[in-house]
Amino acid sequence: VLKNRPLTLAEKIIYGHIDDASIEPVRGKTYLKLRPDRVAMQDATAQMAVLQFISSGLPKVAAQQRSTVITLSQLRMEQLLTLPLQRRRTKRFTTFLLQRAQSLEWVFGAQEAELFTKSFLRITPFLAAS
Amino acid sequence: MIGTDSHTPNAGGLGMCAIGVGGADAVDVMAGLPWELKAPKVIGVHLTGKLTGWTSPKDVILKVADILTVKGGTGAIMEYYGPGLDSIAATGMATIANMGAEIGATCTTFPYTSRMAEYLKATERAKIASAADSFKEHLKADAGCVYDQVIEINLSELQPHVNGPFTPDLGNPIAKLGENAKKNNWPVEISAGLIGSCTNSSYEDIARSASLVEQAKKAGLKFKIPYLVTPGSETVRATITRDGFTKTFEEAGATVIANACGPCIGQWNRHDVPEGKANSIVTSYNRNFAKRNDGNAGTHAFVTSPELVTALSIAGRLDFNPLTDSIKLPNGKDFKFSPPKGDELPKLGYDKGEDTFQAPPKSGAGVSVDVKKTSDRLQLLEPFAKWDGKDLTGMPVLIKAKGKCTTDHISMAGKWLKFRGHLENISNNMLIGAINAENGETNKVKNLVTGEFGKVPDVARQYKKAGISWIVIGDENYGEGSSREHAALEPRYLGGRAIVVKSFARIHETNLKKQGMLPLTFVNVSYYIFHIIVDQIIVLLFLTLLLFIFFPFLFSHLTMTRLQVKTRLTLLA
Repeated sequence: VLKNRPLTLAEKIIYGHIDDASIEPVRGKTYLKLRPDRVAMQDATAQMAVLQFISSGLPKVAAQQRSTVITLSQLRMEQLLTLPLQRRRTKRFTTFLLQRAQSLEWVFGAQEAELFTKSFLRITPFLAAS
Repeated sequence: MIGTDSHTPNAGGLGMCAIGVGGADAVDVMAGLPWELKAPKVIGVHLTGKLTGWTSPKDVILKVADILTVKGGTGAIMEYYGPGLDSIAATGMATIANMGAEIGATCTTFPYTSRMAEYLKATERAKIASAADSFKEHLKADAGCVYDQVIEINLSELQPHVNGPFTPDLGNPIAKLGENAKKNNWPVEISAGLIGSCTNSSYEDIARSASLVEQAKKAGLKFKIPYLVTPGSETVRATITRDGFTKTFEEAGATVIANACGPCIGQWNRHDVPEGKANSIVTSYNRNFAKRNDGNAGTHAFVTSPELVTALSIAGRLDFNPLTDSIKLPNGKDFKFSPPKGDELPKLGYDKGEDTFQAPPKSGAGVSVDVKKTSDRLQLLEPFAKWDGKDLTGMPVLIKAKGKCTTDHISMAGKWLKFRGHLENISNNMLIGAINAENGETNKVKNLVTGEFGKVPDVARQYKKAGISWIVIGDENYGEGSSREHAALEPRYLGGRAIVVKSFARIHETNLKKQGMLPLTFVNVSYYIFHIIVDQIIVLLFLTLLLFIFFPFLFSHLTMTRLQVKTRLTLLA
């Protein structure tokens, strides 16, 4: 359907993940249904996402690759100066996410003390391949 | 990849399309549903020349933001290409990709370069580098491809930029910063400098900043103002400590804090400047909206490269241009910086620091999930009530939000972050930051049944208790900012049914739909003003089989004048 037209790199990546390859994508017009390779979350947003996933009643996630990263986005200044102590204090929600992630067999956790989006660059891409 | 963070696009530094979404979108994909996205436009950024001296990758995105503005990348993927890429490290490309979020871009990507290969090798992924090398001719745009828009930047001519205050698209070339500050009455004295964050905390960023501190130290200079360093990862924290940069910073008066989001996401807990006092700060972060870092509306935040933050923190003034100006030393001599220097990757390799990785078990069946009934931070969700099939009528307007209403206004961060897993508790922050168009105040709205004024979440709860559904009216780009779906869950939880606005931000509109709220836009934006004279709106829903559903709105007022207002609901995305 692309009629052999030359593609931008962004198009190669996005169109390479289209669910229904019979639809001709027109930039700025067509609504695409995509199959992302990976889903990633961090502590502040993962809690509600995981709670919603629990509501679905599904036992396992369907995405091929999935990873959740616990980061410490919720620490305040005085806590930032005493990190090891905070690891223990934040255990409550990290335990929740960890248990849920483990019950779903997610690739989990990566670095507890990691800025979420930095961990994408360092860990998440090609995790399975590495 | 999709990620539940608006700065997910950071991973574009390794040539991915990594896109920020709301949690409900992530749940859909985890449940096996495809993820919907309007085919993005593609904006090409053609880089020529070479980054040298003081100019850094941050200046590329600061320049692009200056050109495109905070809305310019909406619905588009930013794609960088051209010979200039050879002078940018993988982590530098990540900086550029990270801040694509600030121009509204869906994400940012780069063709595969040798610098990506070097980074992969340095981070124990040599196999991936060789796999990518084997078909690298495909990991770039095809010859003759067409971009929707092309921006040309010559890196050799690019000036270091300092963008702000209050918005990341207000570009000030460093040579003009002092002049612009005086002209616009921005405080010239700087009160704090902050480097790091996910945007700018690579080994190279820290090494180049430390090289400037070393120069200053040799001349007997220290930081003139508080200077905070946030390493971006445990690896960077451990590596910069091993290589002596942490010591260099600390000896000059800096504070190196934990590798966490920190002041970049508002977790600063700043006490040295009183609330409301005008002051300037320079950061290497990505966002600089009012109150973002320290909660103080008087703080003028500027975003720039870590190198410039460092030099400006040693000088302490916005009107200091490190490329040309000198600092007077106590001995009467002049000190002038040489351009920053630093290795792109650590010569000794990365020190991984403390390993906190927790591998998943082979089988998850035996793991139980522990959510305590008494927890004030975690609460399992109850399904929302199903639509009873009846038209929605007689719904009061809970609040008509005036002007900017970002996800921070709808569901604040800061001290509320800890309730992100507890819908009932976090709902107490719903719309408390929004300005009520009726009285110009925040968190004070009229209960149209009792006539009494109360806090927004309280009045919403009163309506809910009385079985009354309600709506919200909003302005332009309602829900811009972060991907947090709490901004959609909270109104649904407290009995809201529709949000009627001039326009929505993409992720928020989707989030509302996922939570069963009607996100409606005025067919004619001037309808927004009519509400000034009405107390109540009666909404009638007419379902049609057309692609777009139109909702005629009947406005009723004490004088019984009625006004029909058409709104639109998009069925896609």
